[in-house]
Amino acid sequence: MDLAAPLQSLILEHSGLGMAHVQDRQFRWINARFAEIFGTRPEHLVGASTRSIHPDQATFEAFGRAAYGALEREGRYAGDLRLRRVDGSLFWGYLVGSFVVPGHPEEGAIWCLEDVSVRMEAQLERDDALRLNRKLIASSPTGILLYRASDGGCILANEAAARIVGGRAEDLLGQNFRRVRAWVEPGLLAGAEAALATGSEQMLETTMTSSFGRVVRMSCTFVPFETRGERILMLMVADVTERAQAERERERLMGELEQKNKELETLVYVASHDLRSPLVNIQGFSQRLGNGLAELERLADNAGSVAALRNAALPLLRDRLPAALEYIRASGAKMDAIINGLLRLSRAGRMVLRTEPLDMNRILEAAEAAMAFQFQEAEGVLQVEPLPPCSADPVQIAQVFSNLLDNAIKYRRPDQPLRVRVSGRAGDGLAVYCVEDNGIGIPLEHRGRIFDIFQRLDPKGPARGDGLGLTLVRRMVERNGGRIWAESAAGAGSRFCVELPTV
Amino acid sequence: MLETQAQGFTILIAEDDDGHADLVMEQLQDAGLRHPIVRFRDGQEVMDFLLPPAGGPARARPCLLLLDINMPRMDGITVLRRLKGDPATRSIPIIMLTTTDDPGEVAACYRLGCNLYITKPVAFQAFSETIQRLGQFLEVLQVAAP
Repeated sequence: MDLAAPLQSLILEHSGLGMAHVQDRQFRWINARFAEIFGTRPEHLVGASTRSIHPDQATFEAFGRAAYGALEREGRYAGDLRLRRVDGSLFWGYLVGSFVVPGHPEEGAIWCLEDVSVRMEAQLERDDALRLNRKLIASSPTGILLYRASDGGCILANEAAARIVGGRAEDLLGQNFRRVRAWVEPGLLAGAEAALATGSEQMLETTMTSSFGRVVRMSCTFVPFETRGERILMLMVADVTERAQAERERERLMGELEQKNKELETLVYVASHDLRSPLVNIQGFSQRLGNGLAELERLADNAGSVAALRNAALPLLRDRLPAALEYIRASGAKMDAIINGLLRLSRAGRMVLRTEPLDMNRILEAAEAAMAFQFQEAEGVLQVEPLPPCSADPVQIAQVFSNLLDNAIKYRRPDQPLRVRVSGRAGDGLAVYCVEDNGIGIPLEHRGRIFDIFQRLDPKGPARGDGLGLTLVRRMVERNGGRIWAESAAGAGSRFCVELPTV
Repeated sequence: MLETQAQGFTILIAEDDDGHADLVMEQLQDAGLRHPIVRFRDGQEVMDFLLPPAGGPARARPCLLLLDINMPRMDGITVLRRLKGDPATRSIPIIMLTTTDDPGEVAACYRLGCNLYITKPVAFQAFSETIQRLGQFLEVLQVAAP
């Protein structure tokens, strides 16, 4: 040693680090800083049991086992632990110990101590905040995904994210968002790149098919940020399928209300025109009957002979009066048909909807099977392409398509074999199905009226109906939240398109 | 033939309902109208007569059209629009004679250039009076040759 013993002693006494010599679980010597940390003076601790600085017996014994075990194994112990001041208050201390003479525990150990309460409290707070964050992320109903901007790798994915996009959270980890094909079409990749390019949040609502084949409406927010020099892209994704469904349901209800109103107007129109028309005949020909009877009476009064009466009355009895009666009868039948039609339409509007996911391929297969005979008889060919699924009432939708196929058969061209093609496509929550034929088509001026009630466009045409078929079809499509329209030119065939929601 | 020439013009009736056509013609005759009457069963038939496709023979005599609205193949509104939109037929007087009294439809017909809009009354008495008055009106009407 170069230093003189008194100087060494001074250094130890005045060191900013607390120091103590412990032997047989007793403080043999301590410096001023060590005593100060415990809120006392050295003379009060020297000779005291080391048990006194531990909160309780159990922690004292646990520390003893850990610390002396480490000293014997490694020659050194270091650790953070709770300690007790003389006034009973607790603090965090960082304790480093070693044997005074290595290999000779009986000579005691030397301990260095620092009060690290401030650092420890801050660290504990950080740990708490971190635990809370983890908990929030794990149990958030919003899907949260973190990606490195540099290589696109996913570094965090919570359960909600896995639930929404399908799969397990651990499968999402490591996935490179630039390589996920399902991100391209819904515009997710574009949104991600835009957020990184502009450095600002990007929001979008889109529809994606999850890895379970479920169609999900998602509200997505891309948040770019930087942490320790690494650019990170956060994607928060909420499943708004139900909200979108509720919105569509509201729109459907609004549409239904509007439809009901239109129907009421139609009813008023039908009552004012279609029912009035036969009434004019009933009134007019009743009057003619009455006039005829008066004429017969006059003839009977004035006739000179039975033969004369017979000659005068016969034209009335054989032609004029029966013709008037026939008009009255036919008008009554017409009114009956109109009222029946109105009732059928009204019933179609009241039927309970049972919406479910529909495999349209199966529905068309069934329709095809049911109409096979009619197609065979018409020497027609029905070609059904693979159809996307939709969500609607199976009974009503089956009826819609069998009605459309039935129309295609009815309005075929006599001079060429009938060909009907059914195709479909889907996108953005909607599926569109087209039934195309090479039949007589619909002249432009009739396009707007074919779905209206009691419109038989050509009574001398190839088919006769009750003027309700397409009105009912439109009714059912609209009740299922869809639309129907016709694209056609006279002579070039008809194309009926039915649009239905997919979720 | 001489007599009909003297009467001046032909009355065309476009009406799909046989009963209505019968009643209208009866009432016109009861009013003393002696003009020749030609009846058509829908809008297409009357169009084929007035504007024959592929340059058929043109109408020889002046005429007047009683036009129903709700008819198959071609409705009365379309017939009205086409006839009033074609210089060759624009001068033909057109009287809408229909069961509908919808104000929107009445206005639409006047906008398209119909000369008169008459609603067929359901009650026979009123029907008879309306058509007979129409007959008397037509009796004194002068229609120019095309």
